[in-house]
Amino acid sequence: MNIWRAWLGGLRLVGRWPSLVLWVYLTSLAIAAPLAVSMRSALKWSIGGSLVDEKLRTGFDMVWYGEYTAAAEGLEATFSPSVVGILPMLDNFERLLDGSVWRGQKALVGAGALLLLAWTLFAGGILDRYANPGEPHSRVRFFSHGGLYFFRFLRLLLISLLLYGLLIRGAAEPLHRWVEQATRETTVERTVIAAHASVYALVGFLLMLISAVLDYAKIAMVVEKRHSAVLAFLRGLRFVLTYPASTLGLYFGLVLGGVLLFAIYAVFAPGAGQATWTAVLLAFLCGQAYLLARLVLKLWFLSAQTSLFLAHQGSASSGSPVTSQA
Amino acid sequence: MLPSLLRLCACAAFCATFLTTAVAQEPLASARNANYTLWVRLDPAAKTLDGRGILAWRNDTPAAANELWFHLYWNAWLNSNSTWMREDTLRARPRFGRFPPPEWAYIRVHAMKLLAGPFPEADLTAQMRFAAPDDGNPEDRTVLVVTLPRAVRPGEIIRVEFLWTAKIPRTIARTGYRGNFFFLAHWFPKLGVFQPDGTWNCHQFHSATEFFSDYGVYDVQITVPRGWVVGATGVRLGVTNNPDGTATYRFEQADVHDFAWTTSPDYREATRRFEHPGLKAVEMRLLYQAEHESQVDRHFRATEAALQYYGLWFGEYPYGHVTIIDPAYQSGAGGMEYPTLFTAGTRYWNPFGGGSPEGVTIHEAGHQFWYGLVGNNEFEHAWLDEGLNTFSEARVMSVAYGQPFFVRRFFRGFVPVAARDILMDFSVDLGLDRYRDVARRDIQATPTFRYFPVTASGITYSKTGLWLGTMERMYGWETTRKILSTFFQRGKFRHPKPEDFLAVAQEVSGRDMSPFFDQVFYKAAVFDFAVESVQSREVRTLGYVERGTELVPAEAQPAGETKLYETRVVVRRVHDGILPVEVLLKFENGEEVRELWDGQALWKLYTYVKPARLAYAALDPERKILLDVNYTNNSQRLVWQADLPATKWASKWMIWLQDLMHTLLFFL
Repeated sequence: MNIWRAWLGGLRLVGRWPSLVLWVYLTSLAIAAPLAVSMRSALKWSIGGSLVDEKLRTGFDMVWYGEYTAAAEGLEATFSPSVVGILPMLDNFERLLDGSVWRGQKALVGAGALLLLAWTLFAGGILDRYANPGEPHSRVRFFSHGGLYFFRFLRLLLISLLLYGLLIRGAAEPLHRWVEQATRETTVERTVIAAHASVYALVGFLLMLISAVLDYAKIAMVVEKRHSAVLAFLRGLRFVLTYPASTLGLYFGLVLGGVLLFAIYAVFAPGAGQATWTAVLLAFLCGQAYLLARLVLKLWFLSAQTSLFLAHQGSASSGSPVTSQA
Repeated sequence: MLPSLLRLCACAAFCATFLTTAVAQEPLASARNANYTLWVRLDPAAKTLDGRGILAWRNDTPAAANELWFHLYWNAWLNSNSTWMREDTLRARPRFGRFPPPEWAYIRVHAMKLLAGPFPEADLTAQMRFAAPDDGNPEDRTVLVVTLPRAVRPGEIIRVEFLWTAKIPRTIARTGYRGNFFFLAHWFPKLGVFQPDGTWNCHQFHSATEFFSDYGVYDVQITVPRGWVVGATGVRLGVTNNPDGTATYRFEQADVHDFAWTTSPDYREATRRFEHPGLKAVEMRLLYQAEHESQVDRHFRATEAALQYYGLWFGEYPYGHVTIIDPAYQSGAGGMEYPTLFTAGTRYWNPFGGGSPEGVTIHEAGHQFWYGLVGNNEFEHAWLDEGLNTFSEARVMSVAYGQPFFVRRFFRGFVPVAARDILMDFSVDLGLDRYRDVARRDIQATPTFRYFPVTASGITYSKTGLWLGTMERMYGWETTRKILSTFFQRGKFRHPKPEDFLAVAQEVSGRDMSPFFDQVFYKAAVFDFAVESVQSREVRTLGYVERGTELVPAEAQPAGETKLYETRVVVRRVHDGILPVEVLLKFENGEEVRELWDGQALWKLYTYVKPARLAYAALDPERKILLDVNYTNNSQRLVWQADLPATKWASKWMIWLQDLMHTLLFFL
């Protein structure tokens, strides 16, 4: 099976069950909404009856922001002008690469962990559908598979977090420190940028590699009904190493899709200027559309990789020669 | 005993020093009572300087001087026991602690000799000792005292020759080296300022202070490896290629109080001429990094903006030349001022419109006026240059560039991303956040070197900028400009003190400014005015009312009569800062009422009966009191309108949060 067919097959599967995307999306919305309500209260309390409302309605007011941050604590303190446009996405991507994604405010980390747990629950049902598209599916089957694989995926999640920690602590941070030391006397910023960018690229590549292996580990768990997370991880690794061109080609192709999605959002990302309820709503919907598209992409990864896994498994079991095409 | 080299050169040096004073081409502008002839050689591999100098000093005071006091600034980084280092550890992030010993620094005077003149020649080396006038720290080596064989009488000139060696620091406090980039400031033994009361003003080097010296003529010869570019205070008179592969550059400048220089083989050079009607033309020389080629024009434009507006507003830049240094990346030398030379500082990626490097360039170019020309004592009253310059810079930025947009830098600060619709307003902001944090932690009248190191910039830069901005908005730009230009003209080439500024402000404005300065300068008063509550209720009488001769129930008033509303507004002075403040009440029918509250009482109630409800009440509606640490509470609507902005910004924050959560899905 070539990458293109896996791509298309995956997209078809995602399109066949849009409710799966919706489930994940609504869960994230449900987790984020109460916190957003709390943030709204904090902002409303800070603005109060002040005429600063006008500046914040038509744009932003950095002087108000200075006063706000001087008094803000906890969750409130996580508000900043960096929530505008594409800044949030860059902020979170930077956190992921720098290893600070889990070091935020407790409520935020808790919210993220909650969604991750929900995803751990959904993933079994989602993969069951993608792995067995011909079988009859129901909500009961979805959740029973979710429950069935929950603890297995949870163990896989722990392996993932462990590997991430090792990558950040064992490679990213030491490499950045090494670059800092090695470029201590360097007086050309471009050189230092190139050196740190190389580290970021390496860390990013390794993260994606781990992610790809984990994806195939999940798929193997469901398709091959595996129990052991460690063996599933090794199976995923073996699969990626056996078919590096098709697995990584597919993965990086989808990553390019993500980059394209981000580029499109960068063009349309709302700034700070929504002055009416309608404009606020449209800006919100624009952001939600991006998030929804991001989830579609996430599921597309799984569905396309499942198609590829099944195709290779099928060709292997039928004894036909396995060729990976990129 | 002086080395033979010194003896051989002594005669020539004497003549050179004498000539330096004599050949200065400019008409006498400053007292020129501390004139230096310096020879220095850089060893880039060993990171050392070997120097020889001749100081010609005239005692311009009515008192006799028995000693000479010198600053040896680089000894602040001799070891961790210096006063500078001890103070620096009070900062949240000390600047020097983690460097290995070879990167520390020192300056050692090997020999000092009184040259023949009104005095007989005498070796002073044995008369040298260290002093610690500020804190008595016996480990501090930043002040060197030399006892003279006899007192220097008023008007008398003495010439002193000295030899020194200095180990260059890895850049600290904006001086030192990084790779083959060298920026050398405060690199020679520098005479303190002798005062009319017969004492020396020669403070130890402190973590939160800068410098102070007399004006004079500097004739400096700098030897560096051949092919290296040299930028320095003053005008380059010539270059000599030496047989040992080095080159010696000679620079001269009159009427300055310091001399700094820089060298690197990697500098590129660009020049441009500043011309503006009514102002002296200035030859600008920019030494820049190759990777900043695309920002050359931005550096020149910002410097031109400073020369133009400072020149028009306060007084002309008289030197006719200025050198702009774009320091090497991570050199730590950026954002500093020296006479006729300053360092700017930019990044490889710096979007135009984000305020950098324009802001720092204007600020440091502006220091040519506040610091260079008006030579206040930065040890004691740093606000006189930094504060005045912060205010001036913000004004030039506003006039020349408008409002810069918000820039967030990602990935270790390398990648800037602009939010072009989030604008900053430096002319209002002026570092309010920094000031708010330290508003009560130091009184501005305290000598700067006595400030708590962490609070120094919030008081010196931000508070001064804020109260000057408040003055401008209360008394008008023209009055404020006249105050500053008068102070500039009177303080030019002198050492004005705070009292001089306060007197000029009083004189030029024609007002009693003492209540204002008492609060902002002699006390740490904090200003915060707030609208505490607003009410607007329909006027209703309960019980009976007279209708002709009859009493009728109040509720039985005929319909159609104009409804009246009683509006009650309570305004409050939250802290101790007292200033008259405008109160604006806007009613729903568009009517406006303006009151002037003297702000004396802790609160005041305003009551009105009007045919319309109140829309809002605002204190200081034009935002004149920039010192107000909380402007959000200065206004209050009768009906809050916070729903839309709160929802808007919370919804954006929610997208950020969801994106963060979705990012975490990466882990499974």
